[in-house]
Amino acid sequence: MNHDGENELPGTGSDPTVSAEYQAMANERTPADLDSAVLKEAEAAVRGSGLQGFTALWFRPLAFVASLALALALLLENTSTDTLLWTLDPETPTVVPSDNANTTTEAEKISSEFSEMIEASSKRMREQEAARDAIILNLNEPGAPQNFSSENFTLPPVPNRVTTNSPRSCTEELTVGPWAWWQCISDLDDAGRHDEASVEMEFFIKAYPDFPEL
Amino acid sequence: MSPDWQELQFKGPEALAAVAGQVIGMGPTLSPRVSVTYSRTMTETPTDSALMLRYKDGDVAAFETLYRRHNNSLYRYLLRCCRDRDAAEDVFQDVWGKIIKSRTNYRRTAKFTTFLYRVAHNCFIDHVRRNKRHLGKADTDPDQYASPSDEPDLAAEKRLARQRLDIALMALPNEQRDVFLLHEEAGLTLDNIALVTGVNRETAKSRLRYAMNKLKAAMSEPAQSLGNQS
Repeated sequence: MNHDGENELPGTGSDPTVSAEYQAMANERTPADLDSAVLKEAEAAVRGSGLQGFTALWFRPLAFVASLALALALLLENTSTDTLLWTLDPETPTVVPSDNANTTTEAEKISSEFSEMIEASSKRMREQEAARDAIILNLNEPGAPQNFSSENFTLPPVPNRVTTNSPRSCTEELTVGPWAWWQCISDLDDAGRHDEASVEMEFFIKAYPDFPEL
Repeated sequence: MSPDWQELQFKGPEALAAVAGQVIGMGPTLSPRVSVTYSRTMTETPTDSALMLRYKDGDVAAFETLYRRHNNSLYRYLLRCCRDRDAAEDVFQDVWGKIIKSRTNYRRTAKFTTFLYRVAHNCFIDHVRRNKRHLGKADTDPDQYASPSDEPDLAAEKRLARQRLDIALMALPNEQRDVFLLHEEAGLTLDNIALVTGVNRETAKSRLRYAMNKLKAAMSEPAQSLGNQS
Protein backbone atom coordinates (compact mmCIF):
# COMPACT_ATOMS: atom_id res chain seq x y z
CA MET A 1 0.00 0.00 0.00
CA ASN A 2 1.58 3.28 -1.02
CA HIS A 3 0.58 6.37 0.81
CA ASP A 4 3.28 8.67 -0.44
CA GLY A 5 0.65 10.79 -2.08
CA GLU A 6 -0.56 11.81 1.33
CA ASN A 7 2.72 13.39 2.29
CA GLU A 8 1.48 16.90 1.58
CA LEU A 9 -0.68 17.13 4.71
CA PRO A 10 0.57 19.97 6.91
CA GLY A 11 0.86 19.94 10.67
CA THR A 12 2.99 18.20 13.29
CA GLY A 13 3.61 14.50 13.39
CA SER A 14 2.23 13.56 16.77
CA ASP A 15 -0.88 14.35 18.74
CA PRO A 16 -0.68 14.36 22.53
CA THR A 17 -4.39 13.58 22.93
CA VAL A 18 -4.14 10.45 20.86
CA SER A 19 -0.90 9.48 22.56
CA ALA A 20 -2.40 9.88 26.01
CA GLU A 21 -5.45 7.83 25.11
CA TYR A 22 -3.33 5.14 23.57
CA GLN A 23 -1.05 4.95 26.60
CA ALA A 24 -4.08 4.61 28.86
CA MET A 25 -5.53 1.90 26.65
CA ALA A 26 -2.43 -0.18 25.96
CA ASN A 27 -1.86 -2.16 29.11
CA GLU A 28 -1.16 -5.64 27.81
CA ARG A 29 1.73 -7.50 29.38
CA THR A 30 3.71 -10.46 28.21
CA PRO A 31 2.47 -13.80 29.46
CA ALA A 32 4.57 -15.27 32.24
CA ASP A 33 5.37 -18.42 30.28
CA LEU A 34 6.70 -16.33 27.42
CA ASP A 35 8.94 -14.42 29.80
CA SER A 36 10.36 -17.57 31.31
CA ALA A 37 10.95 -19.11 27.87
CA VAL A 38 12.97 -16.12 26.72
CA LEU A 39 14.95 -15.89 29.94
CA LYS A 40 15.74 -19.57 29.82
CA GLU A 41 16.99 -19.19 26.28
CA ALA A 42 19.17 -16.29 27.36
CA GLU A 43 20.66 -18.29 30.18
CA ALA A 44 21.25 -21.32 27.98
CA ALA A 45 23.06 -19.18 25.43
CA VAL A 46 25.50 -18.04 28.06
CA ARG A 47 25.99 -21.33 29.83
CA GLY A 48 26.30 -23.19 26.60
CA SER A 49 26.42 -26.96 26.37
CA GLY A 50 29.44 -28.99 27.29
CA LEU A 51 32.47 -28.01 25.32
CA GLN A 52 30.93 -24.86 23.95
CA GLY A 53 30.20 -23.60 27.43
CA PHE A 54 33.64 -24.49 28.65
CA THR A 55 35.23 -22.80 25.67
CA ALA A 56 33.19 -19.65 26.10
CA LEU A 57 34.02 -19.53 29.79
CA TRP A 58 37.72 -20.19 29.57
CA PHE A 59 38.63 -18.68 26.23
CA ARG A 60 39.65 -15.30 27.55
CA PRO A 61 41.70 -16.52 30.51
CA LEU A 62 43.49 -19.06 28.34
CA ALA A 63 44.14 -16.47 25.65
CA PHE A 64 45.59 -14.15 28.29
CA VAL A 65 47.86 -16.87 29.68
CA ALA A 66 48.98 -17.83 26.16
CA SER A 67 49.84 -14.22 25.41
CA LEU A 68 51.87 -13.99 28.58
CA ALA A 69 53.71 -17.21 27.80
CA LEU A 70 54.50 -16.02 24.29
CA ALA A 71 55.81 -12.71 25.57
CA LEU A 72 57.97 -14.53 28.10
CA ALA A 73 59.32 -16.87 25.45
CA LEU A 74 60.25 -13.97 23.19
CA LEU A 75 61.90 -12.20 26.06
CA LEU A 76 63.95 -15.22 27.00
CA GLU A 77 64.97 -15.80 23.40
CA ASN A 78 66.32 -12.29 23.12
CA THR A 79 68.22 -12.26 26.39
CA SER A 80 72.03 -12.46 26.41
CA THR A 81 73.55 -15.95 25.90
CA ASP A 82 76.02 -15.32 28.73
CA THR A 83 73.39 -16.18 31.27
CA LEU A 84 72.48 -19.41 29.52
CA LEU A 85 75.86 -20.86 28.53
CA TRP A 86 76.36 -22.70 31.76
CA THR A 87 73.30 -24.81 31.04
CA LEU A 88 74.30 -25.76 27.49
CA ASP A 89 77.59 -27.62 27.82
CA PRO A 90 77.89 -30.13 30.65
CA GLU A 91 81.66 -29.70 30.66
CA THR A 92 81.58 -26.02 31.40
CA PRO A 93 81.95 -25.10 35.02
CA THR A 94 78.60 -24.86 36.69
CA VAL A 95 79.03 -21.36 37.93
CA VAL A 96 76.39 -18.74 37.58
CA PRO A 97 77.91 -15.62 36.05
CA SER A 98 78.38 -12.92 38.59
CA ASP A 99 80.37 -9.78 39.13
CA ASN A 100 83.37 -11.82 40.32
CA ALA A 101 86.39 -11.16 38.07
CA ASN A 102 87.42 -14.85 37.73
CA THR A 103 84.04 -16.09 36.63
CA THR A 104 83.71 -13.18 34.23
CA THR A 105 86.91 -14.18 32.48
CA GLU A 106 85.78 -17.80 32.11
CA ALA A 107 82.35 -16.70 30.96
CA GLU A 108 83.92 -14.48 28.34
CA LYS A 109 86.04 -17.38 27.14
CA ILE A 110 83.04 -19.67 26.90
CA SER A 111 81.07 -16.99 25.16
CA SER A 112 83.75 -16.46 22.55
CA GLU A 113 84.07 -20.18 21.90
CA PHE A 114 80.35 -20.46 21.50
CA SER A 115 80.30 -17.54 19.11
CA GLU A 116 83.03 -19.17 17.02
CA MET A 117 81.04 -22.40 16.83
CA ILE A 118 77.96 -20.52 15.67
CA GLU A 119 79.95 -18.62 13.11
CA ALA A 120 81.55 -21.73 11.69
CA SER A 121 78.19 -23.45 11.44
CA SER A 122 76.63 -20.45 9.73
CA LYS A 123 79.48 -20.28 7.25
CA ARG A 124 78.98 -23.94 6.32
CA MET A 125 75.28 -23.38 5.84
CA ARG A 126 75.88 -20.35 3.67
CA GLU A 127 78.30 -22.31 1.48
CA GLN A 128 75.80 -25.12 1.05
CA GLU A 129 73.02 -22.73 0.12
CA ALA A 130 75.24 -20.94 -2.39
CA ALA A 131 76.15 -24.21 -4.02
CA ARG A 132 72.53 -25.24 -4.22
CA ASP A 133 71.46 -21.92 -5.69
CA ALA A 134 74.21 -22.08 -8.28
CA ILE A 135 73.05 -25.50 -9.40
CA ILE A 136 69.45 -24.46 -9.75
CA LEU A 137 70.16 -21.26 -11.64
CA ASN A 138 73.01 -22.55 -13.74
CA LEU A 139 72.27 -23.10 -17.42
CA ASN A 140 75.11 -25.41 -18.24
CA GLU A 141 76.75 -25.47 -21.62
CA PRO A 142 77.33 -28.93 -22.90
CA GLY A 143 80.63 -30.24 -21.71
CA ALA A 144 80.81 -27.98 -18.70
CA PRO A 145 79.69 -29.98 -15.68
CA GLN A 146 80.76 -27.21 -13.30
CA ASN A 147 79.09 -27.52 -9.94
CA PHE A 148 78.03 -31.07 -10.38
CA SER A 149 81.41 -32.16 -9.26
CA SER A 150 80.99 -30.21 -6.02
CA GLU A 151 81.37 -32.31 -2.95
CA ASN A 152 78.28 -30.79 -1.45
CA PHE A 153 75.93 -31.85 -4.19
CA THR A 154 76.06 -34.95 -6.26
CA LEU A 155 73.75 -36.14 -8.91
CA PRO A 156 73.05 -39.78 -9.46
CA PRO A 157 74.94 -41.28 -12.36
CA VAL A 158 73.14 -42.20 -15.51
CA PRO A 159 71.48 -45.42 -14.55
CA ASN A 160 72.17 -48.52 -16.52
CA ARG A 161 68.52 -49.27 -16.84
CA VAL A 162 68.08 -46.46 -19.31
CA THR A 163 68.14 -48.64 -22.38
CA THR A 164 65.68 -48.81 -25.16
CA ASN A 165 65.22 -50.17 -28.58
CA SER A 166 64.16 -46.77 -29.88
CA PRO A 167 66.89 -44.68 -31.45
CA ARG A 168 68.32 -42.20 -28.93
CA SER A 169 69.03 -38.64 -29.87
CA CYS A 170 70.92 -37.36 -26.87
CA THR A 171 73.44 -40.11 -26.30
CA GLU A 172 76.38 -37.80 -25.91
CA GLU A 173 74.60 -35.41 -23.54
CA LEU A 174 73.57 -38.32 -21.35
CA THR A 175 77.08 -38.78 -20.16
CA VAL A 176 77.77 -35.11 -19.61
CA GLY A 177 75.07 -34.47 -17.06
CA PRO A 178 71.38 -33.77 -16.58
CA TRP A 179 71.50 -30.14 -17.61
CA ALA A 180 73.09 -30.99 -20.90
CA TRP A 181 70.60 -33.74 -21.40
CA TRP A 182 67.76 -31.31 -20.56
CA GLN A 183 69.11 -28.80 -23.05
CA CYS A 184 69.25 -31.51 -25.73
CA ILE A 185 65.62 -32.39 -25.15
CA SER A 186 64.68 -28.72 -25.35
CA ASP A 187 66.58 -28.37 -28.62
CA LEU A 188 64.79 -31.39 -30.09
CA ASP A 189 61.44 -29.90 -29.14
CA ASP A 190 62.32 -26.54 -30.65
CA ALA A 191 63.42 -28.26 -33.85
CA GLY A 192 60.05 -29.93 -34.18
CA ARG A 193 61.36 -33.40 -33.35
CA HIS A 194 58.68 -33.93 -30.73
CA ASP A 195 58.66 -37.71 -30.85
CA GLU A 196 62.34 -37.93 -30.16
CA ALA A 197 62.04 -35.30 -27.48
CA SER A 198 59.27 -37.31 -25.82
CA VAL A 199 61.36 -40.47 -25.80
CA GLU A 200 64.28 -38.65 -24.28
CA MET A 201 62.03 -36.94 -21.73
CA GLU A 202 60.67 -40.27 -20.63
CA PHE A 203 64.12 -41.56 -19.90
CA PHE A 204 65.12 -38.30 -18.31
CA ILE A 205 62.27 -38.40 -15.84
CA LYS A 206 63.13 -41.92 -14.82
CA ALA A 207 66.74 -40.97 -14.33
CA TYR A 208 66.22 -37.67 -12.56
CA PRO A 209 62.73 -37.55 -11.00
CA ASP A 210 63.76 -34.72 -8.66
CA PHE A 211 65.21 -32.49 -11.34
CA PRO A 212 64.36 -28.84 -10.46
CA GLU A 213 62.89 -27.94 -13.85
CA LEU A 214 60.33 -30.73 -13.52
CA MET B 1 -3.65 5.02 39.74
CA SER B 2 -0.49 3.99 41.50
CA PRO B 3 2.57 3.77 39.30
CA ASP B 4 3.92 0.43 38.31
CA TRP B 5 7.17 0.69 40.25
CA GLN B 6 8.56 -2.52 38.93
CA GLU B 7 8.14 -1.47 35.34
CA LEU B 8 9.39 2.03 36.03
CA GLN B 9 12.48 0.73 37.72
CA PHE B 10 13.44 -1.09 34.59
CA LYS B 11 12.54 1.82 32.32
CA GLY B 12 15.37 3.88 33.67
CA PRO B 13 15.99 7.02 35.68
CA GLU B 14 14.01 9.40 33.51
CA ALA B 15 10.79 7.46 33.82
CA LEU B 16 11.35 7.06 37.53
CA ALA B 17 11.97 10.75 37.95
CA ALA B 18 8.82 11.67 36.10
CA VAL B 19 6.74 9.83 38.65
CA ALA B 20 8.96 10.59 41.61
CA GLY B 21 8.21 14.27 41.31
CA GLN B 22 4.53 13.62 41.57
CA VAL B 23 4.82 11.15 44.40
CA ILE B 24 6.81 13.40 46.70
CA GLY B 25 4.29 16.15 46.13
CA MET B 26 6.42 18.59 44.26
CA GLY B 27 4.65 17.96 40.97
CA PRO B 28 5.63 20.20 38.12
CA THR B 29 7.86 22.37 40.34
CA LEU B 30 10.48 19.64 40.37
CA SER B 31 12.85 20.59 37.59
CA PRO B 32 13.90 17.85 35.21
CA ARG B 33 17.55 18.16 36.19
CA VAL B 34 16.78 17.80 39.87
CA SER B 35 14.46 14.90 39.30
CA VAL B 36 16.99 13.07 37.17
CA THR B 37 19.71 13.72 39.74
CA TYR B 38 17.36 12.55 42.48
CA SER B 39 16.59 9.37 40.65
CA ARG B 40 20.22 8.76 39.73
CA THR B 41 21.22 9.18 43.33
CA MET B 42 18.62 6.67 44.38
CA THR B 43 19.24 4.11 41.68
CA GLU B 44 22.33 3.87 39.49
CA THR B 45 20.52 2.34 36.55
CA PRO B 46 22.77 1.23 33.75
CA THR B 47 21.91 2.04 30.15
CA ASP B 48 20.53 -0.55 27.78
CA SER B 49 23.82 -0.77 25.91
CA ALA B 50 25.74 -1.28 29.14
CA LEU B 51 23.40 -4.09 30.12
CA MET B 52 23.77 -5.71 26.74
CA LEU B 53 27.54 -5.52 26.98
CA ARG B 54 27.40 -7.08 30.41
CA TYR B 55 25.23 -9.84 29.03
CA LYS B 56 27.80 -10.31 26.28
CA ASP B 57 30.31 -10.98 29.05
CA GLY B 58 28.02 -13.60 30.56
CA ASP B 59 25.90 -11.64 33.03
CA VAL B 60 22.46 -13.21 32.67
CA ALA B 61 20.97 -10.94 35.33
CA ALA B 62 21.86 -7.95 33.15
CA PHE B 63 19.88 -9.47 30.32
CA GLU B 64 16.91 -10.01 32.58
CA THR B 65 16.96 -6.35 33.57
CA LEU B 66 17.16 -5.36 29.93
CA TYR B 67 14.37 -7.73 29.02
CA ARG B 68 12.07 -6.42 31.73
CA ARG B 69 12.53 -2.90 30.45
CA HIS B 70 11.32 -3.67 26.97
CA ASN B 71 9.26 -6.83 27.02
CA ASN B 72 5.82 -5.32 27.53
CA SER B 73 6.19 -2.50 25.06
CA LEU B 74 7.64 -4.83 22.46
CA TYR B 75 4.85 -7.29 23.09
CA ARG B 76 2.21 -4.61 22.57
CA TYR B 77 3.94 -3.43 19.43
CA LEU B 78 3.95 -6.92 17.94
CA LEU B 79 0.45 -7.64 19.17
CA ARG B 80 -0.92 -4.70 17.26
CA CYS B 81 1.27 -5.27 14.23
CA CYS B 82 0.42 -8.94 13.85
CA ARG B 83 -3.18 -8.49 15.04
CA ASP B 84 -3.05 -12.04 16.30
CA ARG B 85 -1.92 -13.12 19.74
CA ASP B 86 -0.31 -16.41 18.75
CA ALA B 87 1.58 -14.85 15.87
CA ALA B 88 2.70 -11.99 18.10
CA GLU B 89 4.07 -14.44 20.67
CA ASP B 90 5.95 -16.37 17.98
CA VAL B 91 7.50 -13.26 16.55
CA PHE B 92 8.25 -11.99 20.04
CA GLN B 93 10.25 -15.08 20.80
CA ASP B 94 12.00 -14.86 17.42
CA VAL B 95 13.02 -11.30 18.15
CA TRP B 96 14.52 -12.06 21.52
CA GLY B 97 16.17 -15.17 20.13
CA LYS B 98 17.97 -12.99 17.58
CA ILE B 99 18.94 -10.47 20.23
CA ILE B 100 20.38 -13.28 22.35
CA LYS B 101 22.32 -14.71 19.42
CA SER B 102 23.69 -11.31 18.52
CA ARG B 103 25.24 -10.79 21.93
CA THR B 104 28.67 -12.07 20.88
CA ASN B 105 28.89 -9.47 18.10
CA TYR B 106 27.06 -6.66 19.86
CA ARG B 107 28.70 -3.25 19.67
CA ARG B 108 27.46 0.06 20.96
CA THR B 109 26.93 1.60 17.55
CA ALA B 110 23.29 2.58 17.90
CA LYS B 111 20.72 3.02 20.61
CA PHE B 112 19.62 -0.37 21.86
CA THR B 113 15.92 0.44 21.45
CA THR B 114 16.47 1.26 17.82
CA PHE B 115 18.34 -1.98 17.36
CA LEU B 116 15.65 -3.98 19.16
CA TYR B 117 12.77 -2.55 17.16
CA ARG B 118 14.65 -2.85 13.93
CA VAL B 119 15.00 -6.56 14.60
CA ALA B 120 11.33 -6.69 15.60
CA HIS B 121 10.24 -4.87 12.47
CA ASN B 122 12.24 -7.21 10.27
CA CYS B 123 10.91 -10.28 12.06
CA PHE B 124 7.40 -8.99 11.55
CA ILE B 125 8.06 -8.46 7.85
CA ASP B 126 9.44 -12.01 7.59
CA HIS B 127 6.39 -13.30 9.38
CA VAL B 128 4.10 -11.49 6.95
CA ARG B 129 5.94 -12.94 3.97
CA ARG B 130 5.79 -16.45 5.39
CA ASN B 131 2.11 -16.25 6.25
CA LYS B 132 0.60 -14.20 3.48
CA ARG B 133 -2.37 -16.47 3.21
CA HIS B 134 -3.26 -16.13 6.86
CA LEU B 135 -3.13 -12.39 7.14
CA GLY B 136 -6.03 -10.15 7.58
CA LYS B 137 -8.53 -10.89 10.22
CA ALA B 138 -7.89 -8.66 13.17
CA ASP B 139 -8.16 -10.02 16.64
CA THR B 140 -10.33 -7.13 17.62
CA ASP B 141 -13.92 -7.65 16.74
CA PRO B 142 -15.99 -4.49 16.72
CA ASP B 143 -19.01 -6.44 17.96
CA GLN B 144 -17.21 -7.31 21.17
CA TYR B 145 -17.62 -3.73 22.23
CA ALA B 146 -21.22 -4.14 23.25
CA SER B 147 -23.38 -1.10 23.18
CA PRO B 148 -23.02 0.93 26.31
CA SER B 149 -25.66 1.87 28.74
CA ASP B 150 -28.41 4.12 27.55
CA GLU B 151 -27.12 7.06 29.51
CA PRO B 152 -23.34 7.17 28.95
CA ASP B 153 -21.49 8.98 31.64
CA LEU B 154 -18.00 10.40 31.32
CA ALA B 155 -16.23 7.14 32.14
CA ALA B 156 -18.28 5.20 29.65
CA GLU B 157 -17.65 7.80 27.01
CA LYS B 158 -13.96 7.58 27.63
CA ARG B 159 -14.10 3.83 27.38
CA LEU B 160 -15.89 4.08 24.10
CA ALA B 161 -13.34 6.52 22.76
CA ARG B 162 -10.60 4.09 23.58
CA GLN B 163 -12.45 1.29 21.92
CA ARG B 164 -12.87 3.39 18.81
CA LEU B 165 -9.19 4.17 18.98
CA ASP B 166 -8.34 0.51 19.19
CA ILE B 167 -10.53 -0.39 16.24
CA ALA B 168 -9.23 2.51 14.19
CA LEU B 169 -5.68 1.52 15.01
CA MET B 170 -6.30 -1.97 13.71
CA ALA B 171 -7.85 -0.51 10.61
CA LEU B 172 -4.87 1.70 9.79
CA PRO B 173 -2.66 0.74 6.87
CA ASN B 174 0.28 -1.37 8.01
CA GLU B 175 2.90 1.32 7.42
CA GLN B 176 1.01 3.95 9.39
CA ARG B 177 0.24 1.63 12.24
CA ASP B 178 3.86 0.55 12.35
CA VAL B 179 5.11 4.11 12.61
CA PHE B 180 2.50 5.00 15.21
CA LEU B 181 3.41 2.02 17.38
CA LEU B 182 7.13 2.70 17.11
CA HIS B 183 6.43 6.21 18.26
CA GLU B 184 4.19 5.22 21.13
CA GLU B 185 5.60 1.94 22.36
CA ALA B 186 9.28 2.27 21.58
CA GLY B 187 9.45 6.03 22.09
CA LEU B 188 11.61 6.41 19.00
CA THR B 189 12.30 9.73 17.36
CA LEU B 190 11.35 10.26 13.73
CA ASP B 191 14.93 9.72 12.65
CA ASN B 192 15.09 6.37 14.41
CA ILE B 193 11.67 5.40 13.12
CA ALA B 194 12.92 6.12 9.61
CA LEU B 195 15.97 4.00 10.31
CA VAL B 196 13.89 1.10 11.57
CA THR B 197 11.35 1.16 8.77
CA GLY B 198 13.84 1.88 6.02
CA VAL B 199 12.30 5.10 4.75
CA ASN B 200 13.40 8.71 4.90
CA ARG B 201 12.47 11.04 7.72
CA GLU B 202 9.82 12.93 5.82
CA THR B 203 7.99 9.77 4.85
CA ALA B 204 8.04 8.57 8.42
CA LYS B 205 6.75 11.94 9.60
CA SER B 206 3.93 11.91 7.08
CA ARG B 207 2.86 8.42 8.00
CA LEU B 208 2.81 9.33 11.65
CA ARG B 209 0.83 12.46 10.95
CA TYR B 210 -1.74 10.61 8.92
CA ALA B 211 -2.05 7.90 11.52
CA MET B 212 -2.58 10.46 14.27
CA ASN B 213 -5.18 12.33 12.28
CA LYS B 214 -7.15 9.22 11.51
CA LEU B 215 -7.05 8.05 15.09
CA LYS B 216 -8.06 11.42 16.38
CA ALA B 217 -10.94 11.51 13.98
CA ALA B 218 -12.01 8.04 15.07
CA MET B 219 -11.91 9.02 18.72
CA SER B 220 -14.07 12.04 18.06
CA GLU B 221 -16.76 10.20 16.18
CA PRO B 222 -20.15 9.83 17.83
CA ALA B 223 -20.87 6.70 19.81
CA GLN B 224 -23.44 5.41 17.30
CA SER B 225 -20.79 4.79 14.72
CA LEU B 226 -19.13 2.09 16.84
CA GLY B 227 -19.31 -1.20 15.06
CA ASN B 228 -19.44 0.33 11.63
CA GLN B 229 -15.70 0.80 11.51
CA SER B 230 -13.69 -2.16 10.21
